[in-house]
Amino acid sequence: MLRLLAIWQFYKTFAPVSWLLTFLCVQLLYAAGTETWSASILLKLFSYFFIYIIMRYNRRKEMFFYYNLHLPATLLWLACFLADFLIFTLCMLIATRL
Amino acid sequence: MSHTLEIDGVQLQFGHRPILSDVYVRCDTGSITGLLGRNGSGKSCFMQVAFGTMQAYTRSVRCDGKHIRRAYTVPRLLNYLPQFHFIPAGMRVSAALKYYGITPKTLLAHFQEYEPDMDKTMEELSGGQRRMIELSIILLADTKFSILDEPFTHIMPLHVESIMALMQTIKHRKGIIVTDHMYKHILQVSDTLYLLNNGKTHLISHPDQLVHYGYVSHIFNE
Repeated sequence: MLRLLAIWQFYKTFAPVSWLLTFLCVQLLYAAGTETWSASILLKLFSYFFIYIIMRYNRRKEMFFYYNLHLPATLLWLACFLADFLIFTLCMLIATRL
Repeated sequence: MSHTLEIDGVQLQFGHRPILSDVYVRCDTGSITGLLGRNGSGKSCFMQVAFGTMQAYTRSVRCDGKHIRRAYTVPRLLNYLPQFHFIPAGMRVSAALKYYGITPKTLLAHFQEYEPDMDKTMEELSGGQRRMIELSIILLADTKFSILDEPFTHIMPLHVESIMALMQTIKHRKGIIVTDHMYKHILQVSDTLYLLNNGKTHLISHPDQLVHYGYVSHIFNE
């Protein structure tokens, strides 16, 4: 349970930016139709790359908080990006059906 | 139960500059292992290699003779106090304690003065207070070993004494590896002492050897 809370704590550091991008992709889907799906996915994947780079330089010291909880960086990134991508996909699917 | 942590065979270099080449450090439950060395001698690198967060060309980290690839990923094996603040600035002290399975009561049993700070965020504390909280968390957390990189930096003398007393208490259930430039504190608190010089570790059995290796010009006897 504490490990999950720690992963959530890590996710919170970049979640607002990621959710904002998801919201923008949903808006784009409303405005331009379902053909924007692939562009939105590409945009989302690129955003993960930038988030990773920015976090790696700006939050490098805080990573030791998670290392001391015996959480490897790979687990943190994978768990957060997968969860975020799931949220993104669900939002896009719901927007497509509306 | 007693455990042994051994680190050796570390080959680390930055570009063409060798940092670590011939090191051996051993730490047992019930003992404090001190590590001294000049600035840039590779103490912090050595600690991060031991912790598993820094890659070295070769290295061998063993707990009770069993080889460990990345020590920090093994639950309850060891934790590490870096030189910098590592707990997120916006996190409350009580929340940070909870993550590491430490009750506020346990911390307050050692440092009563932090009672009013329990609900403060880390950024609301002074640098020294923040360091004290982080150091206490590392020491009180349930691990077999703790590695402390410059634990006495930014801490007032009264608290240095408290921390040294806490280390003496805690060492009965975990092994501690500690480095700091306040060598007198390290001499005072360590059961085993190593000097890192030119990428090699030297077991120090008498403080005069520190003069011999050029770490200090002379030893003050108080």
